[in-house]
Amino acid sequence: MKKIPFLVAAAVCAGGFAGTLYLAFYRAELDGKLFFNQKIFYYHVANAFMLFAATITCGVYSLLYLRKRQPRHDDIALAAGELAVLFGAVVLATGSIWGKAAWDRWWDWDARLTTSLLLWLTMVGYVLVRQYGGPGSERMAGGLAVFATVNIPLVYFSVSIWRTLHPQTSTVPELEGGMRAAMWSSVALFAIFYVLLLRLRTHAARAGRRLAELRERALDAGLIE
Amino acid sequence: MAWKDLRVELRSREILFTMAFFAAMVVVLFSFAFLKESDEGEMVAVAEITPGFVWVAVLFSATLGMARAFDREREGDTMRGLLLSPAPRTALFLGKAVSLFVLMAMVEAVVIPLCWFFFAAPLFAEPLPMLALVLLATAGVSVVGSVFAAMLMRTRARDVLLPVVLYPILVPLFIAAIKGTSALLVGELEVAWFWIRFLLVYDAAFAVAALWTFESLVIE
Amino acid sequence: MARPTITLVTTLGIATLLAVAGTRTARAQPAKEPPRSYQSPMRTQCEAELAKDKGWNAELRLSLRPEVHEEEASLITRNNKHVVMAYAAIWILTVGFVVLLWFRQRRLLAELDALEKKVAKAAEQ
Repeated sequence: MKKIPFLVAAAVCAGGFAGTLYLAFYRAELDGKLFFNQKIFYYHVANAFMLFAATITCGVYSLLYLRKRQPRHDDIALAAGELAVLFGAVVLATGSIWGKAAWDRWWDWDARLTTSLLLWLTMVGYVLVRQYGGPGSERMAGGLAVFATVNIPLVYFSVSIWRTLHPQTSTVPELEGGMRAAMWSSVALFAIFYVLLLRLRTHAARAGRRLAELRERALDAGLIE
Repeated sequence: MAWKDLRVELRSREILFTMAFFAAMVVVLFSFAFLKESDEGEMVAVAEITPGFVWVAVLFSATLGMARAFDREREGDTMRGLLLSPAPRTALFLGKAVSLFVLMAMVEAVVIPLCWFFFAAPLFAEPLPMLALVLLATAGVSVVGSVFAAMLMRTRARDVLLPVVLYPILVPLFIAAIKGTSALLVGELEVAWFWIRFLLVYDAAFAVAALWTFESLVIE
Repeated sequence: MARPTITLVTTLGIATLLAVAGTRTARAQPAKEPPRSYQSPMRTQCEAELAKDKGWNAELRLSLRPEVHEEEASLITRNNKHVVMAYAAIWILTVGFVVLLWFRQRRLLAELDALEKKVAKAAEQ
């Protein structure tokens, strides 16, 4: 990855983390029901959006890879898959802590929580298959990623279909003033952060693949045993 | 394609018998775990749990069936022959899915009356919704299961990875089946039809996903 | 099955999805009614008793003073235990991932170096 854009993006992220924390803790209004603990919301939702983005990226590029067999699509899919596991873990952890603060339970099997957990488990399965599946595991994992992506509408709309503890999806567009600024700046920050991490991880994946190919060629040429 | 698979399975009957017996054993084992003494002193299943018995037993035996069905192809190495034949890939996939569907339907034909008999659960009170529920759920499991079993056919850790990879995808389907069945047991038709519609949407979505992915997955 | 059929099945699948999802979400939004104050016989009775029994009236007012509840209220409004836990979780997970990336990068570079050395050695011979 080119050096200058990388440094710029990293600086933007660093500044962004500081900026969004300032906005969330000093500029956003104190919520009337949950008071201070509501501040978890800003990073929780941003990470949830990025979970969806990462899963969709993984699914789309996996489908492309399955169709066209271009290795660079597979690299992006792998990176996106691992990032989906990261963001999913953050969403589940912060959501569970929010749940303890708001409803006095760490976990509740309502629709939104269950479907999110299943989506995350599917992506964990994706990473496991890539790691331990042996040769040809890229295609198998790719199929899995497509199924995970099809699952996303179920997760997103689960709050409107069933009555759940989790707040409605309409809460976000209806935010006002300081909360809205904090919310959307967090989403923007995590979007940049996601793209940054994606490019880094893709780069590493591509390097790993080329290294393996080089080793194969060296073996074939008899240069190493 | 489906006829060929079915003929092979039916002639050997091995898979069918093992699946059915396994499912029955699961039901019996669960009964030891979950029955409690009712007021009259007899052992009674909690009404909410009977659907769980049915569908978990079906899930476990279906996993067995999927793994075994593709095992046969792998051992005989007939997959290559099938792939080289002029039959289109999708027909191959549908053939496997249909044969899995029929196997599961036969297992359910054993498990559901068994539960009706053992637990006095009125599973046949509303036959039409129940039939719709069972057919839709079985179709969903066979389609998704066939794709994943084909995917993992040549993997080293296949037997362990198949449940790991398949169950998170199947859980919404089983939630719908279980909740739909328990709604039917209690007589709440509205709720049951909601879950049947849910199964319909789920099947449609994942059948499309399966069709998209199957073609590219079977090339070794 | 040829391409057109797959496209057709896909379109049908999406159409089914949208149709069923549309009808379902439409039904899932109940109409919201504005809240009305609830007048019950018990309320009128309570008010009458309060007017009669001055002692009880005073007791109630005493226990409802703001100062009595301030401690609990400040606990609720100032509680930031969960925020701290949540942000700690976020940082640990994120930084952990970046650290893992870093280690993987180092390992790749080391493998690359080793390969280079081997090839150079073999090329000399």
